[in-house]
Amino acid sequence: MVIIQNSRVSKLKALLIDDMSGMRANLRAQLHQLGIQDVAQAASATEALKAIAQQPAGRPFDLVLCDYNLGGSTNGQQLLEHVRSKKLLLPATVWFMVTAESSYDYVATASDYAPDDYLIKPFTATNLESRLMRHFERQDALEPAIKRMSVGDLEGAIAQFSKLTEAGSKFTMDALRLKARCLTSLNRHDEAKAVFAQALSIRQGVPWAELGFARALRDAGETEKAVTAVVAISAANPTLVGAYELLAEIHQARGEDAQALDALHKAESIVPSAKRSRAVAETAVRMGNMETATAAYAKVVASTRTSVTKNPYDNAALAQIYMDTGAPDKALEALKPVQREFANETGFQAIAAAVEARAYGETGDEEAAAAALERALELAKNADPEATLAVSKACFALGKDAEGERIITNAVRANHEDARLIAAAKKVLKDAGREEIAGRIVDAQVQEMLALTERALGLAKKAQLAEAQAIIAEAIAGLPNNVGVLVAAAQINLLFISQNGLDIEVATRVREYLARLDALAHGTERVVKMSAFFNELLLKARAEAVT
Amino acid sequence: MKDALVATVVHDLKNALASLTSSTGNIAERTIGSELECDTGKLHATTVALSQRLVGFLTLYRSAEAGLKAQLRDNTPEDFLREVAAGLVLPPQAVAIKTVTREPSAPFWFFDDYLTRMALEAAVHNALRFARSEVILACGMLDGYLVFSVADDGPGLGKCGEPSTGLGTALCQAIAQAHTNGTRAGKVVLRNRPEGGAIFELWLP
Repeated sequence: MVIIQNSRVSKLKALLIDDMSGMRANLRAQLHQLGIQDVAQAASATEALKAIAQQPAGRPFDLVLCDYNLGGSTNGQQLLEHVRSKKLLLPATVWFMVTAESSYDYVATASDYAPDDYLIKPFTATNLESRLMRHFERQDALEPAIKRMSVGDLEGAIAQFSKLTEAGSKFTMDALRLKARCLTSLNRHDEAKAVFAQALSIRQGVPWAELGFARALRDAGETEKAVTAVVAISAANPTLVGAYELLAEIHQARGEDAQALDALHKAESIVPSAKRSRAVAETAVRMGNMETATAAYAKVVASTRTSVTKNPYDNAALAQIYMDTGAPDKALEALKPVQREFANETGFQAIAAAVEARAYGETGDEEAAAAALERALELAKNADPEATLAVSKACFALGKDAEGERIITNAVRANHEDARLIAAAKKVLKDAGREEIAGRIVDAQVQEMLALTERALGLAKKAQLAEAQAIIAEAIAGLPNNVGVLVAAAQINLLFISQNGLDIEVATRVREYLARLDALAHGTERVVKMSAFFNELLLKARAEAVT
Repeated sequence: MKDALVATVVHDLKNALASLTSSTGNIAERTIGSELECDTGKLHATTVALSQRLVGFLTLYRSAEAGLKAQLRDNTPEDFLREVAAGLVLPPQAVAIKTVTREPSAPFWFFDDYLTRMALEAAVHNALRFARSEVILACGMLDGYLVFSVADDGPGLGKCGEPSTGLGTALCQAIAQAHTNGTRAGKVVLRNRPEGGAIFELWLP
């Protein structure tokens, strides 16, 4: 049959990813039928990443056709998650997942990073073209609103999405989903709830709307109702992974680790992935459930051994658990497979050297232990705080208490608002009998930064805004995640905009402070009011720009 | 063991057929305008139909084993119908296929486009066996359902002696029933048209 080539389609640059050479040849022939000549091919996830890395900046891939089953240890969904989370492709690059009919249900459940569409084998060039045209039509219809979202004009985006839904567009459901996302970003959770309810009134049981509604309940502080809703959703959709993940989030936030672990186990059993096993392992470590943690990390390490998602910190975590449970030989064994490959990953190498120091110390090889500790201390100078904790633990284990205290003090001082890190540091110090140090360091730093904040607020009251901005910036640098400092910083900079007009740099800063506040103090009245005021200022600036 | 063997064989057959279909498609395209055009067109249409029947059988088999789950997504019925019609691979002498959108229509409706396409393709192939001059593919809203229909101007139901395995109807029924909305489920209606011929209707809640 003759296909009339569409110029928009025929100009696309495509990447085919399939481990079967026959399938690649078929797909290539179909693309040629559509006039697509610029086609690269990859037989594995590794080859695909190479092709993506080599795409010229001026001519990136427009379309990726990826088979779900890639034969090796990385499947199409994991590759998509890796590529999207690392932003290796442009957001506009279309990703179609090719699946066998038998695995479609399974594949479609995994929706953390959903592909733009699914193509079920066998399909024809005409089917592929129809899907592309449908995608472009949706993209065109939503583009004006999405553009506004991308520049942070969420109010403008909401207005655009409302227009589409009011006009009864065929993309109403997409518009509602994105409108709810904007409202959530603006902390307008009751309005987000109303939008999800609107979607559910159009069609009951739509999974994303039900989950969104439950999430909005949680964000609005109606936690009990959220739990009831999520439980009902998972009862009606037993394979909906997102429901268990939301349930786990809620339980974790309430400190109910056992229930969180149960929900994470369920999510992992439905769609196993390294990410989900890792979540199980981290929660189990927090609970002190070392047996589960060991099993989960071992699963992660085994499943990612030859995958593009391999992460040496999984080996490092497993090795540390083995050390803590008295298995130094297994600890050293866990590190081996990644030590050479990740020679330049300083944080990992620091942990690995610390684990070696402890392991040799335990087996009585003092010389090797001292050499490993020296290496660990050197690496710790440029490593992340988590790695520093591992090194300080090794110091305490080998009787170098002063050194251990010195580096843990530095790590805590620089990150005294990171609750997880503080908890981990306290545990290291407790094991070494020095728990009191953590509190002392945190208090001193906090007092100093809060004094700066008071000074900045005082200057703002006297209308000395430029000075206030400089001082609060210093306080933010010292206490980047302190709610009080962030609120003051947002207030001072909002005041600046309201008096001097919209300045992009200041507005970007405010947006960042509000985003951090949103993460730290979700849904609190003060934050919601400031977000609303900020949006008013943006609207006003836009209206002024138009007139 | 037996089941695993059957599954492997069928899977192999399906892949081999997909590959064969791709080859016959290429041959059909290359012979357009030649004296072979009619034969290669027929060959390609036959392999496509065979491939679709095998996939239909597998779907029905799975539905009997573990139930059929519809992945509901919002689709535009009119666009979808056009896509189905454009994607049909028909033998060269096949009658004309017409698409019609009946009022009231819906800008979007929730259904599994993959399964629905499979049902409509099976219905079209069936209608082509009896149609004299045309097959009409239509969509529209009726009593709160989206109704897809495939009508032919043949002799009508029960008036022709051609044997049927009933596979197509069973597949369409399974697909219809996999579509639910609250307490309502989809259904298939087969009836004669007052103006002559038969009509197949797929009602999706």
